[in-house]
Amino acid sequence: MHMSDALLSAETAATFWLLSAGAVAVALRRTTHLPSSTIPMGSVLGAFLFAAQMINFAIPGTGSSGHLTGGMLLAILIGPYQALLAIGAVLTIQALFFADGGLLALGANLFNMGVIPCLIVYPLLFQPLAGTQPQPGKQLRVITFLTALLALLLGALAVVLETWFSGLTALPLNTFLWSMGSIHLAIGVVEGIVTMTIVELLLQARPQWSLAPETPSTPAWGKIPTRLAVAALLLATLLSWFASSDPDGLEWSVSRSTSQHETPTTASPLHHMAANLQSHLAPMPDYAFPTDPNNPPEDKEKQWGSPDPATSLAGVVGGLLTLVLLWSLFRLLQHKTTDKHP
Amino acid sequence: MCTQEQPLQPLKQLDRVAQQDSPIHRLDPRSKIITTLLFLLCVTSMEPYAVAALLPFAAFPLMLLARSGLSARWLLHNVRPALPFVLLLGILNPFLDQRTITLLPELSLSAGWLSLTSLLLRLLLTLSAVLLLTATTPLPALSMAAHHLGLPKALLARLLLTWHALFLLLKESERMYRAYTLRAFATGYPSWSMAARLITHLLLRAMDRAHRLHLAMYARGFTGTLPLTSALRFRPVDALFLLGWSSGFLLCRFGQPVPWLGAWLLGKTP
Repeated sequence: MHMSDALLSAETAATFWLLSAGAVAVALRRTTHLPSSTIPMGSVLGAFLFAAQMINFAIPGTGSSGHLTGGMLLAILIGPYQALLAIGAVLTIQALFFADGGLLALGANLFNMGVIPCLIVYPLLFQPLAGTQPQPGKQLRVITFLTALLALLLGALAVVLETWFSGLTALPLNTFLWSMGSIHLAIGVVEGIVTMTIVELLLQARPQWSLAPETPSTPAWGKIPTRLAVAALLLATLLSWFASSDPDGLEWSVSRSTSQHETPTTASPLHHMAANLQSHLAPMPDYAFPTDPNNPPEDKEKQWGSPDPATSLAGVVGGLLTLVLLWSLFRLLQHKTTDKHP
Repeated sequence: MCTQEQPLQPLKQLDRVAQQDSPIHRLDPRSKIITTLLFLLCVTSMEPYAVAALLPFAAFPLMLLARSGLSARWLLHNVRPALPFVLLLGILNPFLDQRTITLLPELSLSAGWLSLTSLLLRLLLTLSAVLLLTATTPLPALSMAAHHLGLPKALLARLLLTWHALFLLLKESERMYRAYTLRAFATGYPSWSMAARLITHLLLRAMDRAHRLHLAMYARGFTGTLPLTSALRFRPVDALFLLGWSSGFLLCRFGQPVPWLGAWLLGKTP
C-alpha cells in the first residue's frame, strides 16, 4: 500500500507532507512527558513491525499471500502517539533503503498507514469502545478486529483519493475505489484476525502488559468540540458583523432574471398562509430585532463591520437552537438503540 | 522449504556501499538532501504527459551513478520492486485515455501511452535519485544532516535506534522463520494462525530486547536524546553542487531545454 513519488503530483505530496508533519508534531508534544524507556521501546517495536512484515502468510481461499500492516497493532500496544512516531521512522527507512514509497510520498504514506490508524481510528473508535485501560476478553477481540479492518480500508481509500487528486493515472474513480476496496476488504479481514490474535496471545503471555500506557485521559480530539464551540461563538457574535450585505447567489440570479430584489412568490393561499405564519413566529426577522409595524425605524445606511447586537444575538440564538435540536435528536436515537439492546 | 522475503542482505549491502569513498560520498549530506528534494519536486510537478521534458532530469542520477562508482545493474535491481504497483495503476492509461496528441506533423500518439511512459519515467527518476542518495550517504550522516535542517532530536533518536534495532530483529525474524520451516516441513506460506504465533513470539523477544537496550543505555546516561558527535562541514564544492544542480533543475522545470537544444542543432529559432 506504499505510494511512490511517481504516483503523486507535487501539490498532493506537499499537502500530505504538511498534514503528516502536523500529526508528528502533535505526537512529539504528547510524548515529551513520557519516561526515556519509551523511546527504545517505541523504536524496537517499530523495527519489530518491519521484521513482522517479512513474515508472509496465506490468505485463505485466494491462493495469495499477505503480511501484517500493523498500524492498529502498534497503537494498541504502545499508544497512538508512540506508534505514529515508530511508524514514521519505519516508513522513512523503507523509503530510503528499500525503494518502498518515496521521500515526497512519505507524507502520504505516513498519513495512510500512521495517522489514520493512530490519530483517527484509535481515538475515535478504539478508545471510546475499549476504554482507556482495555481489558482482555471477547469485547476487546471484536473491537480490535473491527478497528484493524477499518484502519486498513480507510488507508486504501486514502490511496485512491491521493492518486485521483494527483491525476497521473486515467483510472475512473469508481472503478479504482471498487477494486481497491474489494481487495483490501479481504486483506483487512486477515489483518483484523491476525491483530486480534497477536493482542490475545500477548496478553496471555504477559498479563501484566498495560495496553496503550501513554494514552492521555483526554484523547487528542477531546478538546476539539470545545474549540469548535468557541470558534462558532466568535463567528456568530463578532464576525457576523462583517457579513456581506450584497444579495446571495439565489437572490442575485433572481434579481438579474426578473429585475426584482426579492424572490418572487406565487399568490397561492397556501403561500400567503405560510408567509403570515412565519412573520408572526419568527422572533428575529432578517437577523434583526422585531419592529412595530405601525412605527417603523428610520432607514439608516448601515456601515460594513459596524457592531450590531441584533445580528450577534441572532447568530448565537440560531447556533444554540441548532445544537439543542441536534442533541435532542441524538439522545432520542440513543435511547431507542438502548431499549432494543438492554 | 518455503521462502521468506530476505531484506537483510540488500540492507547490509546498501549500508556497506554507503560507507565507500567517492567524490559523491564525500559531499556534505545537507547539500545532497536539498538537491535531491528539489529534484523530486521538479520531476513530480511536471505535467502528466511530459516525456521529452523529463529526459534532461536523467542527467542527475546518471551523474551520481557515474561519480559514485555504483553499477547501473545494482540500481535497476533495486528499482524493480516498485514497478508492479505503479504499472498496475498506469497500465490502463492507453485504453482509457485515447485522445490523440500530435507530436510532429506526421507523428501523433495516444495520450494514454504518453502518460504511461511519463509515469514510468518519473518512477525511474525519483527512485534512482533517492536510492543513490542513500547509497552514497550512511543513515547516521543523513540523520545528522536532517537534524541540522530542522529534524527534532527526539525524532533523530527514534530513527537511529529503529535503524540499529532493524538489523537485530530482521536477523531474529530470519532465524525464527528458518526454524519453523525446518520443523514444520513447510512447503508454502504458513497459515494466518501460525503467522500470528510467530509474530507474537517475535514481539515478545522485541519487548525483552527493548528493555535490555534501555537498561544498557540508561547505565550510560541516556535521558531521551542521543549525543551528536560528528560535525558537518559545508565546503565550496558542496555549495557548487547544490547551486549548480538546483539551477539546472529549475531551468528544466520552467524552461524548455529540449526544444532549445533541437532548434540550436538544426539552426532554427524555437
